[in-house]
Amino acid sequence: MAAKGKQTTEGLSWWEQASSYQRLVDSVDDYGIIMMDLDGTLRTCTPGVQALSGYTAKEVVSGNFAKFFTAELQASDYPEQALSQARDKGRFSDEAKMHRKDGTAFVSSFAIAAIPDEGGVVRGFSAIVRDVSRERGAEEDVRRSNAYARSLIEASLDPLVTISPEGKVTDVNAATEQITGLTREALVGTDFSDYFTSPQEARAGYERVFADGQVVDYPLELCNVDGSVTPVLYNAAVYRDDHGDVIGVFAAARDVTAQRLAERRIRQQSQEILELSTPVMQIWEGVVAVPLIGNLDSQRTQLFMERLLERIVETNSPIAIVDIMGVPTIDTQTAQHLVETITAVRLLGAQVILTGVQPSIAQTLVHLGVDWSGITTRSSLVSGLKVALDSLSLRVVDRETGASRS
Amino acid sequence: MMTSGISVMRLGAVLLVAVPSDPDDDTIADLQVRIMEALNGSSAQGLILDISTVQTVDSYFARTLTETVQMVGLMGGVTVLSGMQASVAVTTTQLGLSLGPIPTALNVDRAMVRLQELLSERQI
Repeated sequence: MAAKGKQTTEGLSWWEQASSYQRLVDSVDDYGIIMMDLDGTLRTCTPGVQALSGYTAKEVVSGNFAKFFTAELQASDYPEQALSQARDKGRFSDEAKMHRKDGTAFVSSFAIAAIPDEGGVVRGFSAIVRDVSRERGAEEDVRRSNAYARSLIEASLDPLVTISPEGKVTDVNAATEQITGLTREALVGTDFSDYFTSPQEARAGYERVFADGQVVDYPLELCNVDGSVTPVLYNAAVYRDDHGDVIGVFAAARDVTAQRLAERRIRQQSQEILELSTPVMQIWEGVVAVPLIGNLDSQRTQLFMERLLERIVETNSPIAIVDIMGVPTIDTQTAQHLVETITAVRLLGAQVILTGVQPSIAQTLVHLGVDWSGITTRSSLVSGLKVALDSLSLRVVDRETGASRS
Repeated sequence: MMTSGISVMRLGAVLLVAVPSDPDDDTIADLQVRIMEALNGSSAQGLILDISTVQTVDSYFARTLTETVQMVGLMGGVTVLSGMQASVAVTTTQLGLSLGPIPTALNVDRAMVRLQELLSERQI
């Protein structure tokens, strides 16, 4: 080695003189500072190197710089490349994986600088090494948590969308792409309200979110490019930046097609039940009968009234027997509806006989103060029928004996 | 006075009055006058008011009907209202239009029977 033999004025070798800088940086322990030959052989190192790598100065001095890198990097020509670049350009810095004495790896940020002598000839290198695992790890954590949050958003089966205060779509998830049939690129930057059957309502919806901070179960109908329409309920709230200022609206839609179908089916069924539950039967020429079963609400009583009146006209029956045996309870309104029905029947020119009045119902009716005067009531359907036949001047006669049975 | 499509027929001791399907207020007022005139100039004692073609009943019609029935009663006659449609009966009751205790019948046929009953009851 040419440098070894050269003596300076103080009689110290070049390397010994250079190492006086080492004392300045010996106190720095989170940086490892080393000096090495042109071929990468370590000459000196600061205690920071031991703090970093676990190797003592004794263990590394005279060894090669490459030793700090992981096995893979040592196997490649990366260390040599680093040195040759430093020699050519005067400086080389990078981040690379190094390993500690105990075998664990860490990410290092290092800078190699060429050290020229007085004549400008590069005689060796200095290198500063720092462990940046924590920073890189933190960055990695941020990246990973971002990816995690994003993947949750994308995994949501509910179409999610963010809306700017101007009403533009700023972000969407996969479910939104699917429900609209448009790509993210096509959606972002366009008007949110364009994708609904009623743009006014959509606009009113997000404006309300900006005004009130949130909306819950806001019903809208989403249009797909293929022309299909999906009924949805929107839950939306404003989201804010670090300073608490509103940036936009985060809206999640729930596809309620299935619920809407179920609701429709339930409505149909209850309508059917309603019609089934009020059969108006003609039980004799001139006599129709309705057994009322279950609770009577306004809607049902209305239907019952209409059907009874229609049947009376249809069958030309002057007598209608209304049996309320199957009605468990009765309230003022129901009683009022019954009275109305009876009055309407009378206007037609027919007469109602109310039968099957249970003791509890009789009590309630009296307590409710409904005026039942002029309404024929009987406790059972049988006696009601007898009244009906009687007023039609009919008689049931025993065929054997000829005796009257009513 | 033969406007407004009111027909007044005499069948023996019975006056049969058919009310047109959509009577306006004038027709209704006219109806009352026509009935009074017809009753005055005849020996008729019974009146059948057939409203089977009437689609709607308003409060004015309801009141005039009630009044007419009372007037006929004061003149010694008996009235039976016949043929009210189911839908009319529903709206009439729901509007709370009381037609009072006017005797009713499903159709003119039955009204005739009912009228005979009422007249014979009165003769007793």
